[in-house]
Amino acid sequence: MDRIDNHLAVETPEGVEFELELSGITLRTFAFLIDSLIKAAVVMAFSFGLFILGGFGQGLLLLIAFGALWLYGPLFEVFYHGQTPGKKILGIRVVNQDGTPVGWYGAIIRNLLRVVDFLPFGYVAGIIAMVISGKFQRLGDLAGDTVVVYERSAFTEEENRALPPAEPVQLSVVLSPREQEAIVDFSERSSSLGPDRSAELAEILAPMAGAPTGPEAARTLHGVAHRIVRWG
Amino acid sequence: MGMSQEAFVKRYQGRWLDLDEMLDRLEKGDLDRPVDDFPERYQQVCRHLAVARHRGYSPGVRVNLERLVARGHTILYQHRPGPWEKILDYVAGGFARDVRKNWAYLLAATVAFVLPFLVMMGWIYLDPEVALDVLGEDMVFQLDAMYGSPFGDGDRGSEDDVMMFGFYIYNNVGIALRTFGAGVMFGLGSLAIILFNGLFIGAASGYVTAMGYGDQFWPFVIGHGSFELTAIVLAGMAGLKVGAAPIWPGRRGRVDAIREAARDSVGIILGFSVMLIIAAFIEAFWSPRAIDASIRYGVGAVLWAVVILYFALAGRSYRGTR
Repeated sequence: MDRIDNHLAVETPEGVEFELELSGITLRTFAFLIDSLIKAAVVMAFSFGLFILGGFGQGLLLLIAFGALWLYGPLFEVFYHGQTPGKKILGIRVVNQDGTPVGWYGAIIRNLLRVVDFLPFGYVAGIIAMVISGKFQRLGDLAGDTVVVYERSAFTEEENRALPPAEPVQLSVVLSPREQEAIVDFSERSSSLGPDRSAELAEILAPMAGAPTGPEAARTLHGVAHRIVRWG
Repeated sequence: MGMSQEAFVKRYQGRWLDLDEMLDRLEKGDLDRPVDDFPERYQQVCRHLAVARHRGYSPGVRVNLERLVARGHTILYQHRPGPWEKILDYVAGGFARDVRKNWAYLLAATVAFVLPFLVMMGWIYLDPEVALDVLGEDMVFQLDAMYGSPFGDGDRGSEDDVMMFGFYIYNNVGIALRTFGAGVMFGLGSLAIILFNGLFIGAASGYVTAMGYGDQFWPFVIGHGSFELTAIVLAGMAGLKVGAAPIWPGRRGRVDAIREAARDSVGIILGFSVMLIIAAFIEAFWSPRAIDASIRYGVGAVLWAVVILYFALAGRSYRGTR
């Protein structure tokens, strides 16, 4: 089942797949800007404090500037679950392409290759690479075998949505698992869709389920969904 | 078709919530209560996900299971910090082996540095006026100020040493890391930086020698030059290796070739960074000392010998399967 969207399927050694949601360019840009501000603020703050220390302070300041420039990204990504503070704030993280947490290799390579992703100015090369790669990977991600994904949200009760109440309806046709899935999914989401959109979608789905179209289509489909969920 | 979705959820939801709670604790590193059965519980939920998929249970149920599997996968297969032995092994010989393995790129980077260095040094030694065009007036003025008169310990305190140490780290390690990073464009970036450094350093050396400042200059640079110049060449070597990967990918895709070359370079990157930190120490705290030039030449020769012998010999007896 190939879908054209921002999902990346990962297969576990247990033989099941799960999906990572890839982060787009906008969030990553904002994360980058936040990180840049943090780094600038840290260097500025130290520059006031250290300047009075003379040569010794200037030496320390240069070391801090070096750290901000070259160590900030790799260290946060390795020791802080793939998240720099900017990524943390925006709820995205770096992981290896196989879904495992990013390690030294990936973190070092992806951060060093910023030098090239930045070219000729303003990350143009990186953005072009992100568009071409199909997984929103800039050159550093391609070489480091990493992707930037949305943080996994916690286990939520609302994902286990209830079906709207309806009497089970006997199926008149044999439905494939994919068709059953579509009907149950529609039914579960219908309460959040609003009646008009719900009716509209029901018109499309009804013929597939062998149900009559018309104003009652949605309710019939809910009945079919109950039938599917209860007896398979 | 087996169990209905409702019965399935009802039967196993408790276990899912248990695993969810366990994952919460594992993610926070809170291991007060035992988590020994975590792999088993995780694998059970993997099976549940497979079952839910096979039977076409609703997306809502599957999304929850997928999230549990994804989070469990992250915990179970997470990267574990390598032991110190790995680092020691690398220092003791792995680094030298990695460099020797890439001898062709090392040769290319060395030639790209040494050739312009020698040409420029000879040319400007014979015709110091050219230095104004190559180095610029500011740089020439700076060289005059730095090496024009003998420097003693009197005009430079330990504070300045620390400042210069910071500067050498910031500047030199930064240059080396950029030299590597720029390599991904078919090696052109690395090559340009190496050539430029060869030209520039050669021109400066030629100028100060021609002006008769050699007695200040050469004893100063001989020591840290061993680690510093070698490290810059190694950065160029690693950059060229990554740049060559998409040109001659062998039996792999081009992106895979880059990936592999980049992965292989990480040890070298850490290695040359450490070399530059050592160089910064030498340059900040040893090189400017007003000690008799013959001693400084002697120490410099020893340092060069250490670097060359290390890369030539270290790790040769190792017959492991690395």
